[in-house]
Amino acid sequence: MPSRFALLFLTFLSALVGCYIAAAAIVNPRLDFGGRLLFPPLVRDSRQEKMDLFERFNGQRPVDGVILGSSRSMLLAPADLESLTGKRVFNFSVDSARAEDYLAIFDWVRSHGARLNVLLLGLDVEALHDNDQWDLRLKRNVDLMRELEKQQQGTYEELQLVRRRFMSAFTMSYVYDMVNVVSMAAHPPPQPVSRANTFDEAGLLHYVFLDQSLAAGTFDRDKQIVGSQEEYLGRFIGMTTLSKRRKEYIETLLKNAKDHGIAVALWITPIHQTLADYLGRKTQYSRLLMETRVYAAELRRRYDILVFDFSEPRFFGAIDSGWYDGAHMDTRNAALITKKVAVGLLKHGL
Amino acid sequence: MVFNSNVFLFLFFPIVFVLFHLSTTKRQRYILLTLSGYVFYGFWDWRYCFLLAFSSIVSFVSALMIQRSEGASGKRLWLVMSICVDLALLGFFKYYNFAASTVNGLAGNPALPLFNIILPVGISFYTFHTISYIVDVAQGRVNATSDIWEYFSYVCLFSQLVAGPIVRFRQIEEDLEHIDRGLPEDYVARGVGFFAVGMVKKVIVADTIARTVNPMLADYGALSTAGAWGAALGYTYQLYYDFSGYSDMAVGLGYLFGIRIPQNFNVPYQALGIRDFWRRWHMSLSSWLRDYVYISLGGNRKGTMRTRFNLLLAMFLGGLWHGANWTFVVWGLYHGALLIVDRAAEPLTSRLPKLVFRGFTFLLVIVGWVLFRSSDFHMAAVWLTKMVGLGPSGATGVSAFFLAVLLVCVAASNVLPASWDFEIRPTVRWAAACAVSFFVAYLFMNGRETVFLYYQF
Repeated sequence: MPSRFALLFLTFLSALVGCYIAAAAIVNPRLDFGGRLLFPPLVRDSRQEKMDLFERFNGQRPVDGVILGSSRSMLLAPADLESLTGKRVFNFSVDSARAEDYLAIFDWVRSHGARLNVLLLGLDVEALHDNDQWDLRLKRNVDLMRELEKQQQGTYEELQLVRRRFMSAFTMSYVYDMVNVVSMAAHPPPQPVSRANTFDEAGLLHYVFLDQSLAAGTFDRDKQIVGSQEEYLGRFIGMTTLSKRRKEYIETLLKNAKDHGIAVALWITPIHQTLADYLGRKTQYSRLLMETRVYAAELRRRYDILVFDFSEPRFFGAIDSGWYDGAHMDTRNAALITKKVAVGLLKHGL
Repeated sequence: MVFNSNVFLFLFFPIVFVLFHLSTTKRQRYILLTLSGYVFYGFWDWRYCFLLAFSSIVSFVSALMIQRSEGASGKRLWLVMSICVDLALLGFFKYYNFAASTVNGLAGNPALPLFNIILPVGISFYTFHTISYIVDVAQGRVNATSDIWEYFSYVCLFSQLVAGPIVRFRQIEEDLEHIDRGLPEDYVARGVGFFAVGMVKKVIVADTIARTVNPMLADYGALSTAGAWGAALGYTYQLYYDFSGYSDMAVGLGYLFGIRIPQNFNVPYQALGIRDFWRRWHMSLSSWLRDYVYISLGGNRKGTMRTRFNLLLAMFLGGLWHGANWTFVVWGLYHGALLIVDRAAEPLTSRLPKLVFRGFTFLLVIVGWVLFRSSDFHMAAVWLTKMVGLGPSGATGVSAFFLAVLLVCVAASNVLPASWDFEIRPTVRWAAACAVSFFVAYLFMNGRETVFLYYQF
């Protein structure tokens, strides 16, 4: 005979869970429960922003290609590429992109009707980090996650993804997000909040604050380069080798591209020599870079793609002053890479 | 495995609970409790299940032999042998490296080798369980059970296996004997209620405080005077809500399996004097030390000086029991000294206004927790120095949020009754209150499990 109290307790608990799920699905602060309903999403990051921009850009005139990568590839100018190759390209580089981001975005772009014939991929060494942890911003992006789930249909991982997303709603941080979303909807800010970075319609990044300080003569490049050391130390400190799982994502991406006749140019992204030296002393960066080079060469052989090694500034004749910090080039150095990639593609018969 | 984890809440506990109530005989339930205890324990490291089984078997057999021995010498032999085995296990796994490094330090050379020993979780608790059992059998306070499953159920009952309370066999013997009876409705209500209250204490209060206190103490050199006090007060409440939360959850789980586990905390920060504090704090340990150490040494029956020595020795062992570190030893001696002073100063303290006496007792307890929490004497010295405003003052102060949390804790610990004073009844209101408490506490877990502080002891 089941206990009456236990049944009452479980009934109340079930009712609470039911009400909570309903509230979470309606407020949907992280877009975990499908599309947006009544409230704007709390999290605006480069992934979601670029998805919106891409739909608009591609809607105006279909694109021929996309640039994938992290923030270190965000300054490759689509306009420059179009003038050099005649191809209309959208820069879909997103913050802290890893291999799974490349694959998810590529699949999402194609599922939105884009007929690509060129794919430009800026590969960071840490995009193949063996921690295999997905960026929170990716995990919160329901559309990109769906693309990844398609890759894993019928697998245990798919179930795990759904479970993790569901369980992540049962946290206080989720409650705070719900409260914030509702309160922002009830009291919208009177004017747009000023932003450090913006993207143009083709996805090209503009560093608003940094460019302002450059124009004002207050920009301290050396300080910025030293300042980025700690962040990148954190990225590389636990990395011991290239992730097998992430290599599989890259290879799935390249195989799909090859199957659909999409020309691919891949380059290993550069970091400033000061940062490279620092990471070389503190982490296994030098060895990991070597592994990445070997892997990129293997990809060239297996998938007949163009591969460039821009991992060291001297490899593409970088301007020493052409950096915002230890990892992010300014437009001058980005233009050098853009040109080399474009020329390479043309030579390759694009 | 910890109680506040998904695997426990949604897998382990429901399975064991359903199987327990599907089983009907004593034997089935004993076996289930034993197996579940080993699964629970094995989640941490299955290899140490053998150590637990060995300790249990030795004490089970010894108790039977003590009971069957006719002469006093035979009883004593089995008693001493069994206690020696338990203490040898505890001594080796918990204290060997500590003792060896102390000896090496004194000798000035590495005379004794150090081993890579992993401290088996819960060993301090289950060895005290088994010791209390055989001593009670030897002293005729309890009859040795001949049912090994019943005994195993007692030693490895998962609710109190890893971090107590230190339950004595005689305290739950009656419930174990009647474990095949149906579960009374008020047991279910109390079980769910205690568990929910414990979850709230641990997850909402203790873990919230820990998120501020731990970073502060990781860089204790940077504490300001206010920060040093904030950290001390914060740890004082963190430890209380963490451990009493665990104890409440253990009591609640006990009720859900028909076993009444005794009270372990009784609003200790409302204590009037240190003796009163130890009657309210970790009651199962303090009463264990009283009954098996202090009274065994003669208690207060052999004169003032011997009483003081007994108190110091009992508290020295109590300190050492918490961990192989000199800070624990000094903390134990500090409380031993306070107990002596408390006895001597009773004529004076009894005339103090209660609020003043309570505040003074609380202050002494906080100072003790500084020693208890410090990883070494340097940390304790720096921390205490900062509390009295001496030494270089750092930049780490107390945020407005943390101050608010501390004030709520001060109010709650002085005004709210103990969990045991809640008269949890099998009513609709209590069911709703328990469900809301459990649900909110689960949200505060934020998808993570945090280990209880007393798991390390």
